[in-house]
Amino acid sequence: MSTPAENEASIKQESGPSGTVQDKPKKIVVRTGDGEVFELKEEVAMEMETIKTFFMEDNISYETVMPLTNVDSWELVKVIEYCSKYVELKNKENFHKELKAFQDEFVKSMSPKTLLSLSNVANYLEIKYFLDFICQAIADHIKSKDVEYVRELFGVENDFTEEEYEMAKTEAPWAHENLDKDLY
Amino acid sequence: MAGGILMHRSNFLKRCIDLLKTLSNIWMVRNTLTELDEDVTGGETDGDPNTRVTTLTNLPEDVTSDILMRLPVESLCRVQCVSKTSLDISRSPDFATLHNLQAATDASPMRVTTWCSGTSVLQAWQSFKYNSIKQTLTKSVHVFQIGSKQYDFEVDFVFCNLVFLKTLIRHGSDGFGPCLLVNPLREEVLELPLSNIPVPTTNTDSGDDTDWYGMGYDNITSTYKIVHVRATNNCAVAQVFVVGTSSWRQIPLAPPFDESTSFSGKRSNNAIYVGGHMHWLVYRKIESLGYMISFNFNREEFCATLVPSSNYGTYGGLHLLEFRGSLALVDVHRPDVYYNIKIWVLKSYDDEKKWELHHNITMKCLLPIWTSFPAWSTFREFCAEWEHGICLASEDQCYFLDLRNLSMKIEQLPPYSTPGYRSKARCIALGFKHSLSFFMMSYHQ
Repeated sequence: MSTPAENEASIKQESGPSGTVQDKPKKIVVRTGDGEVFELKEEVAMEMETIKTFFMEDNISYETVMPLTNVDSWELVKVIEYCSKYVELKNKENFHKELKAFQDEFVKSMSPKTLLSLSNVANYLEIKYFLDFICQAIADHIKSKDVEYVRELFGVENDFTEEEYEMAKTEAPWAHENLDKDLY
Repeated sequence: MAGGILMHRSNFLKRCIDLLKTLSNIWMVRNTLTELDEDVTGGETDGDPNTRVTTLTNLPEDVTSDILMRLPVESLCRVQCVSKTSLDISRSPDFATLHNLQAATDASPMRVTTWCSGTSVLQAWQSFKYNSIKQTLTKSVHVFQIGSKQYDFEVDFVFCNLVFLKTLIRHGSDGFGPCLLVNPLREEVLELPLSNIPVPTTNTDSGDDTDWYGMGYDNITSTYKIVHVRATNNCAVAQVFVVGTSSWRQIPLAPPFDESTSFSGKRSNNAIYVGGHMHWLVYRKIESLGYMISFNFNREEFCATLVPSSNYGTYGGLHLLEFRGSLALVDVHRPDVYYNIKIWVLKSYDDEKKWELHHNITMKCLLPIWTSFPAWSTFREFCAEWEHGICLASEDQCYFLDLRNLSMKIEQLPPYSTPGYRSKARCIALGFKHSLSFFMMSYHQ
């Protein structure tokens, strides 16, 4: 004999990903590493493979709040912004043009460190096109910078000895001339 | 001496070496490759990875690699100097190949490399990319063209996206022509010096393939070497060229090339570089057996290994390739109305070289019926790895075998963009990055 609680549970199960008729757009709820809760539109959330797998593989109900421990709230805001725009533009005619314009705006306000954090998040959430975009943005940024700059940006310690460093440098001495002398 | 459109030679040579230096230590990083003889030198930290001092913030290596491969060569050379980890990453062979392939995916206008000596273009290679998600084979932007009055060129092998072309001696011509090393993805051509070592003349009518070439990395001297063997019925000569020097150096040949164990005969159309060695397939007519000859670039020595194919009958083809990081042998055999495809992988690479059968597929499908050719002529066909399996090509069609569900997809190759060229049915593989695989198909007038 099933209790009302059980009945309720089974009804909830049915209204999960296996999809019965529902009029309102489905929402997926996630919680970021710093404790904030976000409600995502299903179509945007499904762009992120990690979230998609979490719900689809074991048929987990959308009632569950998915924890995204490696993502901070500000990062998620940015990701949502990009993915929403991508989904919106996806089927349009001028997709590439409009996406490019959006991408240029998107990157303008960001510091290189921000881009690095976002690349980590894109990798964790498994959003291929977003990862491509961020990695390209980072590459474009560092391509004319010198060794010190890249080291500082990535927060890397120089573990070469003097000699090892000189040896690495002499492999392509012409590469170390004529660079941007930007300060980080 | 060739005129034509060569890159500024000394500059190219330098950049070639410098770029190639980022390819080094081929047997260092790939997880799937089993332990090989030499120990690795250079660049890595010892001991437990958890005690590594350097991490690029907390970015996983994949992501760092992804960023680095989008950098142009100059800035890659700088980033190498950042830390030992970045040096490791930029030196891994996977990385180098992907770095070149990145150039392929970025380009949109046509990128043509040309090498002509006093005549118009006679042969061309058009690149194609296969998108495994959309399952489409489309023309890509890279083309390289060759023209020469005296020589025909043929691809001998591909090493890390570099295509090596040797000259075919035309009947009545006066000997060797120059060999070329082409990087079609970055439009660069290197012309190798002519050999100054006397080599035996061959009877080109015999139909045997007598000139073998290979390229690899010697991690002891940190140099790239190209090896050349000319094996005829009664003698063989081998020489080595170190990239960056100006001449070939003869090497003494040990067995299996002495007179009594002649290895002349048909050879597979591609040599494969895996695990620090270059490998070729040869058929010994006397024994009716197939062997794999391997050249070790450190010791500059050859050795021979039996291959596990029992099918040298009228239908079939044997191919060596790099598959999922290891050396593999694909044996396509057609006993009757069905095709049988076996994939053997070389698992242990010490003295006991063991081939393991990884796939044994029988299917009724539309591979061309090689009725009129004896088995080893099918070396003209081509076999390479793509994201989800292997592909075979012949004439103007590519057959993609998906090993996940054992399905075969057939793609027609479009004709060359300039009219008047016929397909030469020679195909080369440049590697794949994610879901895009790159090939080149040859055409001639």
